[in-house]
Amino acid sequence: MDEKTALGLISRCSKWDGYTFDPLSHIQAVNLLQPLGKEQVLASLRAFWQKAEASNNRLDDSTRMVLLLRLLFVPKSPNQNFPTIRTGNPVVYPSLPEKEFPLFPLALVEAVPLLISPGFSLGGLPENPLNQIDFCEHNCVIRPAPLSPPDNPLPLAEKLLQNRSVNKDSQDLPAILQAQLLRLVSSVYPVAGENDFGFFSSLQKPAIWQKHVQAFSDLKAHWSSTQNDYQASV
Amino acid sequence: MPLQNLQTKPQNQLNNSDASDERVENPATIPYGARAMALLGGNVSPIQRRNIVQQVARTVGNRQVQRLLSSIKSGGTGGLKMGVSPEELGQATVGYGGVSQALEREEGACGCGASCNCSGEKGEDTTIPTLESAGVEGLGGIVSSATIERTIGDGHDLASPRFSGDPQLEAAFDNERMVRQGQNGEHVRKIQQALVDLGFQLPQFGVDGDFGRETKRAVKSFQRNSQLLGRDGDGVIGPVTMENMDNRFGAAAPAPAPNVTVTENVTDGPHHLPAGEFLWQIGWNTTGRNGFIVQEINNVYNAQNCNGSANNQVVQTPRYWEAWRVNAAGQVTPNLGAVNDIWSRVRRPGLKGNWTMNANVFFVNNLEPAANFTAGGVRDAGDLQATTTQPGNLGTSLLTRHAGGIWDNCGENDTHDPA
Repeated sequence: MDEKTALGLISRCSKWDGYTFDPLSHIQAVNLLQPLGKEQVLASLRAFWQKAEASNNRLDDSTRMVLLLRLLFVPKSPNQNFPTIRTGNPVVYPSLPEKEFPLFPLALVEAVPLLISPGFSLGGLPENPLNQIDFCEHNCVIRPAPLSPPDNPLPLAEKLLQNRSVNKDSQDLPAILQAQLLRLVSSVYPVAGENDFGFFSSLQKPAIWQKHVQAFSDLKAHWSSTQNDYQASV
Repeated sequence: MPLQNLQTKPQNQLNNSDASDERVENPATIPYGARAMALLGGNVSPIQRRNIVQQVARTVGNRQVQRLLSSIKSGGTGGLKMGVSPEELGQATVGYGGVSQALEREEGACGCGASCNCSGEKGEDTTIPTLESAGVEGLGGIVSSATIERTIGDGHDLASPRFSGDPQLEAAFDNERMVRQGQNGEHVRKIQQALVDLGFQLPQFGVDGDFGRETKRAVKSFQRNSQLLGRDGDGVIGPVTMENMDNRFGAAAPAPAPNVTVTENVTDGPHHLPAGEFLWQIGWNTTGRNGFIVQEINNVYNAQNCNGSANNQVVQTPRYWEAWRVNAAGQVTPNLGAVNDIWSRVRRPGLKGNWTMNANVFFVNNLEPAANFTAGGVRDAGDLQATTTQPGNLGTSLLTRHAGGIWDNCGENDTHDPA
């Protein structure tokens, strides 16, 4: 893989925005970059940031990088966690407390990354993502295996929220997670208007969400490791 | 009256009845020095005399030394016999340490060889001999080291809250005992914390109370940064380095030049985006040097669900202070490219509300230690050194900034207007 392709993969990764986060972008980047090995991946990330830092997209680019790092690398020591991302003050749902999620603001549920914090407020300067890259270089190994999500990922939102007091939270939390899952399968189950704000309102109605779950299940789609995407059975 | 008795009495109770006291303006300090000077008439060696004079000169301070010398000239010493003349001693009081330098000239590198250690900040043994260590038997035991060494509260004390009153650091300031590699303890910890707060990193061992090689390197960096060269830049903390470091934190720290300006260089925005999202990126320009830009942020954020009930999902720090370092060339760090400061508000679809960010911008020579600026200390500030404790040294705001918005993302509405 040439550098341009690698940088393209990184740039397509979703930024830290729960309302537009697409898990597929990160899964594909992880699975295509991981075989390059630790050194080349780190070099690609540094090359990406060298260009991104000078652009006005530096804030978005820094967050897409640090999210990807949490999926590409694994701390060598089981007792070690990634350092807190100093990008701003994150929105934290009480039912998904930061301390319970070592990859915060991500939760990795059956190989599917879900963004459990919709965003952050900043009045300062975000951490230079090179700090997180340096941490990975010295304290991590590259993920040993690709991410292989389940054939039907839509129930993962309920699984994540199971036994948690979601009622304490904003009503939009399940809808945010459900929309992320719908983006993951959008190649075989596209839903119009998934990035429209009204889309979240519709998902807040349980009956509508259940219709999506049933419809996707009827497709009998499966995850293709060769295509690095979902495929319909026929 | 024995000197030790004078020393142990509160200064405001010192006996003012001696003739020497009547010739000076400050009876609290001069009698002590005057009596010590008078004792020099005893049977002491030249080196012992030199040490006594050094100690006395430090004790009474430069201005008072000059007054004292006037009294000596008029016959107030009772037979002073010294290695240097009162005139030369008087010339040496121009700057702190001048007495010591004058004595070095007189005695040939303090009488201790080319690698002179007597004046402080170089060599292996930098401890100025006290009267006791110099063996001042000639004084018949009247004078001990405790009586001649300067003390806390003698008028020549460290000013900053973090250093003031620490016996080891006061001793370094008084040129009595250096702080150097190999030492450990609370005084070393204070020095290390000061170095870190001033931006001189201790990446491997941090603030551990042990003065090792890493601390020595940081001290040298501080000395270079403070334009302390030669023996004042050798990684040992003596009076000159201690005074410089104290000035960075204490009341003696110079006020910023009145003509310092801070301006913002907008690189992107401000963008009022749908659903309350906001982005504004700027860089700093300042005429200030070797200091810090401090920005006070005041946040207001009110969000409502579409039914009108409050939505408190977004929590922001209502008030905090964040800092950027400005070096001698005017470079402002940290930075990401040309940007030093980014204001962003999170996207909140399906809600309505209003928000404001108001800021005051200052330039200071140092970050007040009591405010406890810490990198990442306030999450809203990202990676900047920040605090929620109001610093007391900010002075007048040099720049005010404002951003705000009212958004409505309920139903068919999709507005976000500046406010």
